[in-house]
Amino acid sequence: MANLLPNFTKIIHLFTPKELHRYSRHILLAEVGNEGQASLKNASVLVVGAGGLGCPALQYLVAAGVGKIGICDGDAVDETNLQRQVLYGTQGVGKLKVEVAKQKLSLQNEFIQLTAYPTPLNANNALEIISNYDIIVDCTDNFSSRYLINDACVMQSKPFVYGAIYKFSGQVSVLNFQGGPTYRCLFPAMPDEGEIPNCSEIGVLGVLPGLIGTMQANEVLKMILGLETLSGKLLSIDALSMQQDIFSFELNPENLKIDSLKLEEVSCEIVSEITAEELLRLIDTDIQLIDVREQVEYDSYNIGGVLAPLSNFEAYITKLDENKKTIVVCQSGKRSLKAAEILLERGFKDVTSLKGGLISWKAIKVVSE
Amino acid sequence: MQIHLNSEPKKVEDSSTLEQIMQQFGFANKKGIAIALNEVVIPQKKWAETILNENDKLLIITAFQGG
Repeated sequence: MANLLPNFTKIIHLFTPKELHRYSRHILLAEVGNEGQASLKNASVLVVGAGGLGCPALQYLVAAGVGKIGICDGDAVDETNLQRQVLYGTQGVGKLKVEVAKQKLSLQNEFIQLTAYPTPLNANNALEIISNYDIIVDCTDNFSSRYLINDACVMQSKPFVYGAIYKFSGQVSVLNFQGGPTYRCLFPAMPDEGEIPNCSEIGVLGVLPGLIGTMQANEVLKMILGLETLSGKLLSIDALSMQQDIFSFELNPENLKIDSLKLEEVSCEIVSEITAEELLRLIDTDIQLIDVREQVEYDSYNIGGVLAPLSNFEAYITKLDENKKTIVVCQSGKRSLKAAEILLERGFKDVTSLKGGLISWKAIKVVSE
Repeated sequence: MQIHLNSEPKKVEDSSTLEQIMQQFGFANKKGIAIALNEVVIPQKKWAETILNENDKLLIITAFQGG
């Protein structure tokens, strides 16, 4: 016990007796101990994306006593999030995720410091936000953000923990850590648009992000504690068969040569979306409603608005008012995202896309009538 | 010889390179994937020099974006 005494003296200054008691099950572990718990308290971690992966990752990092935690997300809680995003409940719908998360997490552990960034991470703010943290956790839901996080972390020599899910499968890795490989060493180029389903259109088993987000938190703790991590390894798990595989991969030093963040890597995530309920409230106000489906679809059912098929969008753009609040709709919410992206690129001031398209609209009309 | 591609047995030419196999099965120009040979990811620039052996296990790992 004698050799623990010097540590213990240090710890007394760092922790209150209440904290020492709170973290006692950690401190009992030889791999954590007083020093490890102190390392956790001195660490700072940024979680990018407070969704399916971010919620459990945050809860465990907060519980573990990571001293400084940032939460970055620009989205509001949507009802369809509640099936898997366990920090949010019915009352939170419509509120900013970072606000609800911060409030809830600060009640979970009052001994840590939480900072909320109510914005999506983008090429303009990434370097500044990331610079404040030791470790970044990629809990985002689109490729643009994932490559952005990689590039920003490489530029700033910050390690990050990757986690991603698809239907019943998940992936986890520790990247850019202690000379290990980066995201681009595993997946050098972003898939072409439409090649891999995006924007949560394909469905996901609610527990899966819970598993993967928790594994990400696990990697963060091990990085801080100096234990073995998934650096240089990709863990892949199938929640149906429960089979896990670990693949190894190596650093390609070329991928460390990044000197700027690419602004053109925008995705549909940049376009803000509006729910059918919100559109219902706005539909009779002074908005420019644009339907980007084909003429035949429009003729069979429409909710008014200007017809401007995405297939021949250019021909219609000049007839639209770029200064008016604009809402774009289509059948499922995919073409409208594309169209909204084009309008934003053309300098339209205020463009949103109807989430779930006219399918969602019809669904709430049935309920409200 | 026989190899396993995504857990399915496939007959291929003896001493095929990874490059040839990727061409043959249409993965050569796909983005957003990584190829693991017996649990080790082989970067594209090493495909041409990687010669496959009987019963090798190839797995196409697809990047996920969901979160």
